[in-house]
Amino acid sequence: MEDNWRGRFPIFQRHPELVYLDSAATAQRLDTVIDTMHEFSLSGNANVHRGIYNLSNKATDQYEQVREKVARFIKAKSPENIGFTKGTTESINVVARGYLEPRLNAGDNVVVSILEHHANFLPWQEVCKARGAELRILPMNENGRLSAETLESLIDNQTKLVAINHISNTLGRINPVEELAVTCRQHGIPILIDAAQSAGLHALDVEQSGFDFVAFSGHKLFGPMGTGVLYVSDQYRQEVQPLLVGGGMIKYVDIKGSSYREFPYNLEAGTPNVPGVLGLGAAVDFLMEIDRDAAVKHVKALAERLVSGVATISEVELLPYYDLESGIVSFNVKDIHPHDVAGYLNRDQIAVRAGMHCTQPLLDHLDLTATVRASFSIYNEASEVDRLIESLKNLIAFWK
Amino acid sequence: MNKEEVERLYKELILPESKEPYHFEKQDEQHVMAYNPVCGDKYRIYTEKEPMHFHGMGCALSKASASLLMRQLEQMPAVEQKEQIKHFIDAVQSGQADDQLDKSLAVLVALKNYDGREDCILLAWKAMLEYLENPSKPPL
Repeated sequence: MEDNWRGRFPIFQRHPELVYLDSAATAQRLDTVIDTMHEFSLSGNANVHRGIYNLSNKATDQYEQVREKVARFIKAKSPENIGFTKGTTESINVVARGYLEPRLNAGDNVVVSILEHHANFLPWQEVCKARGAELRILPMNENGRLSAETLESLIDNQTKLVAINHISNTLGRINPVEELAVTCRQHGIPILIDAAQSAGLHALDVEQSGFDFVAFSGHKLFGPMGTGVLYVSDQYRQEVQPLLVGGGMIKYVDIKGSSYREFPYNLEAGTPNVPGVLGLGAAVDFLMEIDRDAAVKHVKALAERLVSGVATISEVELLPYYDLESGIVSFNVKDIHPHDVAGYLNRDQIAVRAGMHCTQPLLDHLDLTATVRASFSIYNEASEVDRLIESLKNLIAFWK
Repeated sequence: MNKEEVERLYKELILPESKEPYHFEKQDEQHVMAYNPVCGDKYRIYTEKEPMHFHGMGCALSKASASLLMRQLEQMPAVEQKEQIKHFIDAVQSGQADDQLDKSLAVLVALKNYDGREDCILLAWKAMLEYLENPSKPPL
């Protein structure tokens, strides 16, 4: 395996038999992420942005350096385009509530795709409900593709925002977000990209791609839970208002009224998750060091091995429209409920996800109630795919 | 308990009970809805007429457990039903099956202790308890 990636994840030393195939839910944590966070508690703990002493100054420098790293990581113009949140969900809610809601009027509309995770569906549904606006759903075409042509037919001069995921967490579909962004740009409509499933291994170039808002989580790129990023382009940076107000984000406070700093500093009221952000920085360092093309090839090969391995098992039905490069493969086993599949695999120490994957509109559309999902990352090995296939065969024989 | 014992319990109880559930029939009557929004398992429990029936879809464990609920509550007065359900929920949550608990229900407690899935086991039971404690509340 390239550069012994697996060896960089201590959980596999604690659980040598674990076959972890649920990286789309959360990726395992990198050794340097753990070390960085631990070291901050041991020797660096101080609050940021407010101390006149060395420890606080150092914490502030380290914290702000992560903003710079993340900007380089996704090719943003400046660290000022990068806000820290507690995850993708919060990032999207900030845009829905802090940017869109005050601009959304009755008769306006917002477009999301049928493939969205609830995190990129509910915030838009709620603001549309609150403002009397319409939520429009971009369907897949017959090949499972979200097309610019269909988007073009759905938007009009009252479309206030388009929100699309880069990779579907249920299907493993990679969506043509750059093409969709071109359509949005031609019409002057901002586009938000939910990059939760892609930001880890699929290099983003947010400036070049013309994205206005991009949201992703630290824990899906080998970093800590409770950390997330919201990228906002220069065009909209001054228009994003915070969900929380309090210490650390003010310009001036007066009993008659107060004023606040601009994005991204207005997002970080109160004491931020400093160790988490530093851990996120360590994850980003790692991702910028490794060959991410090789990493995508690696997960693709594993997904391909699973798809070809189950091709001869007639009871295994793959969900349609997957892209192997996503490393995500969803399937069902005939006459066996996904929970029972996952429960059986668990007894063989294989961790997969079963359920609706927070994509109820998509499953309704596909006329499914639940699926089993295997998702691969850089630490997985071909032998683990083989163990999954073997266990599925045993399950099918057992269940008869 | 090891994997082989779990598989034996599945063969002896869970698979037969889920493949041919007790009083499993769709009806047009008033019902209690048991729904798990995380996995999509959904059962309707028809409470209007004796004997109670249920219908819906879900995993083998939730279906077998709902089927055992039908068996347990059959011809039981509502007050006793409530006590019986509470007793089982306590047993599953604490992982302790006492001598009072039916043997088939003790199997569910043992399975919960092996690999969790408390939500699957208690789905129909919790919905039924909520109904017995507040019968006027509409389903979902």
